[in-house]
Amino acid sequence: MLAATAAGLLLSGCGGERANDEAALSAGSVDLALEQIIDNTVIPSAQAFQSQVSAFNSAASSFCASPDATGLSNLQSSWNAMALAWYGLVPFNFGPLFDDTVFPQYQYIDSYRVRGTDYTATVRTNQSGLINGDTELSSSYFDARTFQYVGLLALEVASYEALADGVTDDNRTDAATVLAEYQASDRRCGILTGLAGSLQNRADYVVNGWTLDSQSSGTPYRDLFLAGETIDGAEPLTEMISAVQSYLDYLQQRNTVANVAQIAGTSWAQMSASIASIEATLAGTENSTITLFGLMTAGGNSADVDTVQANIDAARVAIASENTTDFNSLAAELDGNFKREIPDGLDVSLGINFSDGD
Amino acid sequence: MNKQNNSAAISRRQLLKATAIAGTAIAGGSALLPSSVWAAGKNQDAAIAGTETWISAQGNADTGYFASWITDGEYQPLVQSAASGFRGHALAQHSGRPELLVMFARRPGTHALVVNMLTGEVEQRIECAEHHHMHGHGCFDQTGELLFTTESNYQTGVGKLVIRNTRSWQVEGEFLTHGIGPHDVHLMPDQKTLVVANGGLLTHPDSGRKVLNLDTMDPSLVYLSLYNGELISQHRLPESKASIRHLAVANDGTVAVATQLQRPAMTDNRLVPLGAIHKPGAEMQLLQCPESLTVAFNDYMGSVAINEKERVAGFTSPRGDIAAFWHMDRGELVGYHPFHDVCGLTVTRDQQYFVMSNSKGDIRLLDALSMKEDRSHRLSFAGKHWDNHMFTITLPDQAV
Repeated sequence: MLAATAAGLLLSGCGGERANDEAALSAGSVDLALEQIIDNTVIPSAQAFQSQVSAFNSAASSFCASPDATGLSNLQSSWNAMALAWYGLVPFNFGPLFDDTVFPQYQYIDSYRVRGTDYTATVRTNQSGLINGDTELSSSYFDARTFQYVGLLALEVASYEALADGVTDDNRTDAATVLAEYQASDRRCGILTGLAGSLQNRADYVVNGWTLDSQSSGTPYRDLFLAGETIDGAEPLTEMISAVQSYLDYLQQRNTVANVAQIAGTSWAQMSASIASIEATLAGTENSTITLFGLMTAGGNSADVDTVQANIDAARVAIASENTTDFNSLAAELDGNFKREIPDGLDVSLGINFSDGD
Repeated sequence: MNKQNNSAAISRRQLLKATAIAGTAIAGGSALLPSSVWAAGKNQDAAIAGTETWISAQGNADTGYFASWITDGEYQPLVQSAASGFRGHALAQHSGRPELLVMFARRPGTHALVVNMLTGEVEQRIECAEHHHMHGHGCFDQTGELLFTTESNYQTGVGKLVIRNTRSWQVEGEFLTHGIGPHDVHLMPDQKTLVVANGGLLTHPDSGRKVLNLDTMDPSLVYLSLYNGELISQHRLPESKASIRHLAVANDGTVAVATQLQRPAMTDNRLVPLGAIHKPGAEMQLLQCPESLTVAFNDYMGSVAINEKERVAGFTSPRGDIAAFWHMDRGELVGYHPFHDVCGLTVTRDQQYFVMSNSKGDIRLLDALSMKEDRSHRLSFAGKHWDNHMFTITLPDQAV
């Protein structure tokens, strides 16, 4: 077993650097596959999320300029698309999304991801208080809020729910009631646009970090990552595999599909977006010339590829049938695949000594 | 510097020769970075005779297991190793013969290894008594005449400090630790008290490392008389599922405590502070931090070390890829540093830096005042896998 580094891989002939070569499992070919994963899947996922956050901001501005039913519907559709894009990105919770342990960007986007705590009631109470209070709803106010009060959940509540006293679960998401509140109080729009602007700052930070400047280093994290200069010193492949594995563990441990996006009712579509990103990580995209699955096969580990692909396919079936038990079980299976079959199939070790502790 | 390096070169040959006789494998390593790091430890404390050395259990199932130490080489830091045949955990330096180091087997191992670092010879292999296993830690008394190791009788579950003389390494006696699963042990600065971390976890070699008493675990911090094992005091944390595992002791008797939460035994999803400070005559003080940092620790602290100069206690979490630091008197978080699979943690002899090691063979130094990493002092030892604990020791000059 070798270290999870291109430098630590056994060289086994052709590096696979030319597009039409039959890829062989080697240091160079894994490096190239990793580069293509970053360029074809990870960064585009971040850019897609940024784009959808921008679209949501536009929808919020339009709605608030003249609140009406069409504008509210557009706002809610934009939230759905934004959440979908996030679930395409969140499996890659490393780099600019997680470049500070105490104040990571991801937690300000997705409070549930921190440790599976549902802050919906907290958000409702907070926004009701803001509507009825006199706090200045400035951009700096929202940028300074702790993670429980901002991000996708806060915007889901703002977009979908009525918050006035007397609202019950029966009419909380009634569109006419929500619209009436927006028409009656400018402060609801102040909250909506303030939260949306704050999320835009987070999304911009992540894309800029990947493509322009990571942590004021003057170098994009893409380049740092591919050069092995990860934030905590992990090997790049280890960092990526560990991030996806951790996400799959989170999906099943926190029963995520049954707890996120419950107001919008879009959690299954979001799971589908995650599975698509994870599959793209392994099987590549239309722009890929070399893939991890291809390298595993070239290394004589096609059985591992078949195992992982079967679990991905089964997860899709569970999503289509909205079977929570099966989906969580398959997320656990895939979690195990990222711990065992995929590193084994690539002939790498994740380099972790302390998994059993002492 | 040159003199020391020449001396080191000669000693290394001697070491190889001696090792060959002893049948102990020695593996030299070379650092990827220049040895400027050594200025941190040497230049400012030249009055201390001997060579600053960092030592740790090292290796994995593929490479084999060793006690390995980093010392100054002619051109760059060197790693030298003594094969152990078992996975070590902590080490202790003999108080009277500083060339002797004992490496204790990781739980539930039954061995310890006495290495003479002047010759590279394994002077002694220590075996547990029948039905006993070690917990990975031990310490010497002030004179070095006695060695105390944390052990358990796995038939009865009783936790013990087993006492051996250091002439023949034979068992002289044992003290009860007043708890199950004693893990770390230190001699207090008064030289007459031992402090023990009773982890509270019952295990049995037949079931490996599986915890058999999650429902009833009762971890505690105990102070015992060095002379007769009498219980002086016993202290508990508010959370009984936080296993007290590792300790560091400051010169004034302040004890930094690192715990590992047994999450499967919890009945709720609460976050629990993992670090604590205990001062003589006081109750243990939990170390608080932002929720996200507690989350990052992933219910696990693997090692703890104290910087006397800055009064800062550092804690590592390989499960969270993080090290974090608290002021021992103010109880406030003063810094944190992400580092993949970090566990080993020590302090340079001049107290300027915390030294962190990981399973990838990397070493990083963190300024103990600014809490910023000094990247110019990064070291990377390819093929080395630093294990749970790293210690700073001073070796006599004739040693490598």
